[in-house]
Amino acid sequence: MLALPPAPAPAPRRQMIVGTALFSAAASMLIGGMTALWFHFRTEPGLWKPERLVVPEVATNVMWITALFSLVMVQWAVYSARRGDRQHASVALGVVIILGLAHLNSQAYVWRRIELPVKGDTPYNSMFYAITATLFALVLVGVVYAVVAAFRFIGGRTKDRETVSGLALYWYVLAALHTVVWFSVYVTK
Amino acid sequence: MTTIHTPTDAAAAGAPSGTAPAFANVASWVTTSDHKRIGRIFVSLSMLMLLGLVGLSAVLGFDRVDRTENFLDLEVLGQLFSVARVGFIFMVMIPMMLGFAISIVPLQLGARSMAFPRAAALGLWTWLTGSGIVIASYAQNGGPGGGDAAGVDLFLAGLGLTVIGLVTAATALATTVLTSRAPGMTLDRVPPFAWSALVLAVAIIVTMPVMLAALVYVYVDHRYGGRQSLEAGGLGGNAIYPWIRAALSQPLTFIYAIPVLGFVAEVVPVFARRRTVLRFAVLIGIGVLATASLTGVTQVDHSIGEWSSLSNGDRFKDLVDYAFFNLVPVLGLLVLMGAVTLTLLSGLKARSVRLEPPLLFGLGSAVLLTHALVAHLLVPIEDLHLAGSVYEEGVFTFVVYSVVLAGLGAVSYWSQKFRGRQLPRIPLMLLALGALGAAVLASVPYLISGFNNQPGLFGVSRAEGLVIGWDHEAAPELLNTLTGIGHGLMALTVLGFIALTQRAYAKGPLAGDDPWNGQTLEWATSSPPPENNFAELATVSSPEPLTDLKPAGSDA
Repeated sequence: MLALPPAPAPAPRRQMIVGTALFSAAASMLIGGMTALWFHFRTEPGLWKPERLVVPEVATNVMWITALFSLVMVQWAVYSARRGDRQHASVALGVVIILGLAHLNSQAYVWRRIELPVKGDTPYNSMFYAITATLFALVLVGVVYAVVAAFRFIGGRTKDRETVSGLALYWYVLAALHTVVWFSVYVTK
Repeated sequence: MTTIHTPTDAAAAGAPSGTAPAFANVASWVTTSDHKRIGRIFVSLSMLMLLGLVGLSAVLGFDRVDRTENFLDLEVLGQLFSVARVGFIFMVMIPMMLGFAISIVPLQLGARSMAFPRAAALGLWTWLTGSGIVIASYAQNGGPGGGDAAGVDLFLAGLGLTVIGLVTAATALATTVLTSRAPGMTLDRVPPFAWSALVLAVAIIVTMPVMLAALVYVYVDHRYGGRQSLEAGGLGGNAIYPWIRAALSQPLTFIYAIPVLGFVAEVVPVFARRRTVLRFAVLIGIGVLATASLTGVTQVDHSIGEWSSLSNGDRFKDLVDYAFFNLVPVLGLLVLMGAVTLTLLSGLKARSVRLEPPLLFGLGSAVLLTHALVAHLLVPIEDLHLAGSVYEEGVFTFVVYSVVLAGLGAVSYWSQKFRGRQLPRIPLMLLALGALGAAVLASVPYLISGFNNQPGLFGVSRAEGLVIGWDHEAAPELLNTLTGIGHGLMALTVLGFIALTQRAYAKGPLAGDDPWNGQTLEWATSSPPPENNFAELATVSSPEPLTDLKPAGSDA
């Protein structure tokens, strides 16, 4: 058998970040497809949004601000992880998890307060639940990701900074997607 | 590097010994995170589904022979066509190509494992669950054209799960190519098959979620919204198709067949015993074909209108759109096939070409895919009235069978790396010729019948007036009979291939580590490879690292 010259063990090639980037691309296409459908239906002639619908805008705006604020927290986690500061990184990841859960809670609140039946005369009703539930699922994935990153870090794998960086990347994409959904669904309606 | 000698039988058997209970053996497969096993499960299951779907295609082909009478119920005919289309794409083409890639690409890259193997395994089982639900939904009168609301919901949920599984596996595969290459293996040095696998994976990642978005909306609306309910003439009929049609039609199906070209570009230099001529053209050709086809997906409605009714300005506009969205993919193919042909000619000139089954399968699949791409050029020309005819089915059949031939070729090429056994040469070559003949027989008559205005059944919920009693300009009975025979022959060929490989895996001669005098890293490890692929990582300094080590006269 032929033998090539052996090589030293290669340096890590940022698998978590590349994998997260690809997953984020898929998530972006998913929300992008949903948003395209939203605007497709919205531009159709005839009634779109139910006339007496009242969107709880305070809750939806707070959700969006929460998403933006969580970026500060996740960046704090990355900064602390790079400095090997376990205590700060753990706190930051904990706050990210809490903010993620708060986001999910707010979304559930919006669903409850908006009093919009899924069944409606226009595609608005189904589309509203489809797009917000999809974002809900993506945030849930982000929370699980944050829990895994936190447990790995708290468990002593403090050199595993790549997972925290990957989480931060996903969270940035999530905030961007949230902004798109917030603007489409709650601002332009 | 990489010279691990693992006793073949022990390695082939996997983890449990012969005395281990069968349950432990099954459990080790179900819970495996070995990329070779995950890939093999993908390939094996897609082969089984292929067998069933080709048989179904034969039945559907024979059903069209008589224009005055048909033996299948018209109520279910549209559904059966949709089973064939959805099944071929989501249960055969994509998983088969992904399976080979997951199994082989990490070896080609000189990696000890793939990135995120558990994600790949999750993708496998999610895909399998989704596929099972899709099949069950058809059994419950669901799917496009189905009459049962719960069955339609089940179809949408199952297809969504299938897509999630494929995207998950594709993400793990793309990450592997991007991050797990051996030292020195820059992206322009990856083998063509690995490059095509990367292109396929990225294409799946960016296209499938869009379809998933549509499926989620349609599911919510159909199950809870009631706007597109069966009673409203909605999804029970044909209304699912507009949401998923792009993923089931050309040009997106060309993307699923991208690894076919990677496989051809892989085997031709090996059996021509030459280095690839204009290697960069191969990589660029694959990229151009994929990118242009993806662009074309958004522009499927841009066709050349009826020439006589167009102004000069509109004619020019239509021609520019047509050229950009239809001719550029063919340009990518021509660039790639040009480089491959030059490599083959170089081998013929040096009298170094060896005619082996993988080469025959590979060239056959390239011929079929080339025909599909060229034949598709005519569909957007409205004056030819080919859209909606069986012509489109003929093009699709070309694409599907090019993937099938490449799949059979991949098994014959990498069988040593799967099971450590050599497959018999002559029977395989006969099967390759048989498969090529069957594919041509199943496709070409539909292309001819398309010009005779025979209606196609893709996207049709009720088949009255389309299967029997349609107007015609020529006698189609012979052509339809030939198509049925073609599908039947393909079913026999696939069956024969499976039987042959199983027999060879059980009793065939042990294969060497590098029986084809290969050029890439998968041939630098034992057959079959051990669990971690390589004991030592190699340093790579060219696209053909093994060829660098061989005497100039013995190989390229």
